[in-house]
Amino acid sequence: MNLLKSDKFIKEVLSYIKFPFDREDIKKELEAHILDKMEYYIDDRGIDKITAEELTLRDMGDPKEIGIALNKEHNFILGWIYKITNAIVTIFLIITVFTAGISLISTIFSGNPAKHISKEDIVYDIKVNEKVKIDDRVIKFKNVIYEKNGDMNIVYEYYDTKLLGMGWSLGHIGTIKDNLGNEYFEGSGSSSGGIITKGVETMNDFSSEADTLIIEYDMYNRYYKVEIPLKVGDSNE
Amino acid sequence: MYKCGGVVVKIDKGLVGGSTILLLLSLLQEKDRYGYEIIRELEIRSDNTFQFKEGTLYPVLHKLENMGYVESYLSKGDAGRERKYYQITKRGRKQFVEEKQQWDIFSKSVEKVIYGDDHEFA
Repeated sequence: MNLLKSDKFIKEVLSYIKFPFDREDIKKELEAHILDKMEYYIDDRGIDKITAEELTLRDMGDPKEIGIALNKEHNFILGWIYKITNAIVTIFLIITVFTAGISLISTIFSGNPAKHISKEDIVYDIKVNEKVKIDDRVIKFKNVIYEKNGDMNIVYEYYDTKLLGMGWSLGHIGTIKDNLGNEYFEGSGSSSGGIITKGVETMNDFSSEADTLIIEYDMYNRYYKVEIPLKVGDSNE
Repeated sequence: MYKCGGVVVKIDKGLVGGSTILLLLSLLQEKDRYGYEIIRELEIRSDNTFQFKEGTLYPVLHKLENMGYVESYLSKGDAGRERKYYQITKRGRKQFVEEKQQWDIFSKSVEKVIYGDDHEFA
């Protein structure tokens, strides 16, 4: 402030404030007050600058008394708790935004989970669009792709209707059967994370004679059954 | 110090102290004000009765802020100087109404004691 006495006054007030982060605000507030009051003495009362400063500081009172009283209102412990809580909330928000961003990006760029299957190997590719729901999770069966080597691929995606439900991966879409009574065990499976998770489950040696693919889920008191009509024979789509 | 008919009367600090919150909330419920402005307004309206050490205003204002009666923000005034303005909150307005009611009862009771039951109040 370039006013030696005023600077000394403020410095003394601040010396009683134990919470360091509030000192700057208090300093600015007191500085503005001192300048306003000096301006009043100089402009309205025609007093010289040096005397104006002295009178202003006299009007302000005892810096020790002010400092001690201000320190009570800027509690050291509460101040730190507030600062730490703020920092934790900020970090939590950054992590949440970052995670949501990653999920969004991976959803946008995850693409087709069955893209590894080359066109020449496909016997047929049937669009399904069957939708089932377990609790807050919606599972959509998108299409089934049958390959020349007997692999049956079930392409699906799932998402949660509640934001907080995000996080657990499905793992198991159900028991895979056909209309001939065969039961298949998963040969391989993969899924990509994101808001909408896309996945493919592949069954080896799927019967080419079967005309219906059955997905049946019966776990933890949740049940669904999806029947998908298939094309019988070797005709390419 | 209080000038009464040309006679300067000293006002006990405690008398003002008890009603400081009411006085500050009263000024702030009219408009947002900064510390120095509050001091000036108190001096003018009380005809210089309420003159206290100006620095002691800030602990009280910060206390009101901690209590949730006021909020503060920084703004540049006419002189281009950045000042901390205080704005009364909803809670502060409620407190003002309550304190004003208490003050009315208190002041009337004091007058009754001093002037007797027959005293007519303005």
